[in-house]
Amino acid sequence: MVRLWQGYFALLGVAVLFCGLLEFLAAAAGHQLACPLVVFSTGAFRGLWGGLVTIFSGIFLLKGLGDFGEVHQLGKLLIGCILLWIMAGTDIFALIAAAIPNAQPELWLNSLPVFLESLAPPYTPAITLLPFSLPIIICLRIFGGAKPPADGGHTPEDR
Amino acid sequence: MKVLLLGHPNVGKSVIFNRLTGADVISSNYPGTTVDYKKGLMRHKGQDIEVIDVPGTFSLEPRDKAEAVALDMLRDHPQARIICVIDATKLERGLYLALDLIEKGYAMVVALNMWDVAHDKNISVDPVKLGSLIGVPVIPTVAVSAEGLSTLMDRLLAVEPAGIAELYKRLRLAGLMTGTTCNGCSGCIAGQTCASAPSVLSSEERWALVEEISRRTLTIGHYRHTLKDAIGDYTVKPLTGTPFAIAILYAFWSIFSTFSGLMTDGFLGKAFDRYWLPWMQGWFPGGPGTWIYGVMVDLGHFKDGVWIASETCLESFGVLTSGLYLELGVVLPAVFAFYIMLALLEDVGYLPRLAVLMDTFLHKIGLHGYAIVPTILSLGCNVPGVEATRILETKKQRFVMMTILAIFIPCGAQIAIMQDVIPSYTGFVMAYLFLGYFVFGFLLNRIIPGTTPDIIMDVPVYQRPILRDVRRKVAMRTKSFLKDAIPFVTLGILIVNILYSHGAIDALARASAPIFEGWFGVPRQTAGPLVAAFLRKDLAIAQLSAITMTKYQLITAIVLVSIYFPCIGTFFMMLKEGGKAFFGSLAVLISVAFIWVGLLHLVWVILGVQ
Repeated sequence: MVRLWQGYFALLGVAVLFCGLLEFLAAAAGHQLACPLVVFSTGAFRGLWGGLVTIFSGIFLLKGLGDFGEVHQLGKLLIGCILLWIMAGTDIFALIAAAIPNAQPELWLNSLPVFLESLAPPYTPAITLLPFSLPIIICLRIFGGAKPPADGGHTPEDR
Repeated sequence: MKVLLLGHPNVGKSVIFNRLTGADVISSNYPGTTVDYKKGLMRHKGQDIEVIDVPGTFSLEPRDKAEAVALDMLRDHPQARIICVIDATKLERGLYLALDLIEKGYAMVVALNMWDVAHDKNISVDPVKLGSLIGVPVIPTVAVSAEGLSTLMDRLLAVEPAGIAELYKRLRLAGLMTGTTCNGCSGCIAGQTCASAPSVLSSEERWALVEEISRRTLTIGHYRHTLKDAIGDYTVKPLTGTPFAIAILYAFWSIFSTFSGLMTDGFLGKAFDRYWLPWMQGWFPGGPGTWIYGVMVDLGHFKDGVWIASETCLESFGVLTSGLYLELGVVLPAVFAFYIMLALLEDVGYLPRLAVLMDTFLHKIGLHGYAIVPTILSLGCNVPGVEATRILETKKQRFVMMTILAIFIPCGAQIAIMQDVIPSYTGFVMAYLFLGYFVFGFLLNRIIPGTTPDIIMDVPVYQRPILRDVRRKVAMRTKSFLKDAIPFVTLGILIVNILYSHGAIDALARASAPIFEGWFGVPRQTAGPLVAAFLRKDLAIAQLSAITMTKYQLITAIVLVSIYFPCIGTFFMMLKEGGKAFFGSLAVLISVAFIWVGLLHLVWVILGVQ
């Protein structure tokens, strides 16, 4: 069971790290990378800064694999996922915000078909990887708090 | 009846104040939110009560200006009843202050706040035993849910001053003072004031007493680290906390720009340009060509001798068109998004962690981690940012902080306009300003005499933000922004338009041309927006966008507007907080503007892009 979870998050960590590196390097070089499902953002803000955050997310996910289930290690996994959720959340917000108003000066809102079309793929790597990070919730339910840390927690004397 | 809410910083005094009075006072999950006192009224059991929320203080010997306010309030209201708020998870710390207050003879109750957090941490305090030892009622409370507050007020109405005699009697009867101050004379055992006892305990004696009282009333069970603790630890350690901070700042900036872009470009810009401007152009009495129409609605422009009406609110520069559009159409959505995110970060408890992370860095400029609080507040508005410098301990720290805040930290309104006018270069301008913040902070720390003490920073636990508090905080800040911004922008546009129409701006531009064109490398017409910048910097940046210049000149001009002088609100707050030191700040400010903007011009010249 533990091995299965470890393997899953190892794969996810590698995928996130790889995507972050690609995004960062593509933005640094000024190249637009895209395939039918995934598009890598360019520009200093989303490409470089956002790519950096995605790289950190991948590193946290990989760092949380050792001694799987221990609360501090779970903390690293969770931070890795939170960073990915931050990227995905801001990307989804930007996607929806861009899809709502009509570009024509005389019209206010896009029609529903145009709105839905604007939400169609390709997506950024963070949005694409978002669903694969959600099993962390199940993982936390299974392992969360089950295994004490090596230091055993606080005692009255520690305080 | 007057009631003072006293206690350490960040123990929940402002939350109790809000719950008791229904007033709107900003409370946050970090110390130093309240730097001045706030008054509110309540009615309990038929009695009218004035409640005063005073800044947090660690003892009755003030260390900074905010603590001095608390002590002044105590001195000014000797008959007031006190609610001494203690964090139930840190009983020892709060007890020291409580004992000091009891010794001074105040009628007091203790609110043992954050009772729920203490329970979560397996910490238990016996309030009845504690109350009987110190001779004042001790009531467990959870301020965020108002738990225990009614009992607290009931007991407060009935309480009488205990005083030093009663305190010493109880402590001696409990065997806590025998052989220390009194030497166990018979008079004391009988409960009378001991002739040989000192009037107050020494600091060491009081700490020893606190330790003994805690030993008898406090039980700390075994506590296992939770996931929340693990996340809390990782977000303050540099190696793991820095990437997290980078991600949080990314989210902050991304949501800020997406939301303001959606509202301004998607809806409000269209509403103002397509409906409001044409309606004003058609409706306003007098019509095009008249002086009042130009000032209030549309200055327009001339092409081949023919007056052409403006097509957008940003170009029109009328008080009722540009003025309203800038504040309601551009700045309001941006500051609204900013305030929501700021409130969330405050209430979750992330800001103190950012303070710990930034501590080493800020020590290089003579400040400590909590200097990040005035800095972040200034990114919303410089006025509360300058006021928050009170949490810094020494005059030197306050001077350095106030000066670099006023010069280098752009407010939310200014950032919003920059995003609108120079979206591609806002990041560069911000980076150049932040670089100046550290460079001149470092230099000022070396030049200004004085001390920069270290402090121990208290990091609160992460909390789930309460929607009601976030909503109230955002509403209060937005209301305050609207109250301040609209009159000043209106006045600013009016003054600049009048000065333009009378040729005063042209005369000023001609006279200062050598400085503007020679030293700063920007068109002489920049003089006009600089006049407006004293009233509102966002307005000045919008005016800059109407002047013909290269993008490099525009970047330089925006940096100049940002740093040359504080806006009027910040000016008066600096004067109030800094006193005489304000004039020193002003001298530094003007010199820095010349150096930092001149340097940017030099960079463009060297790169050959000017």
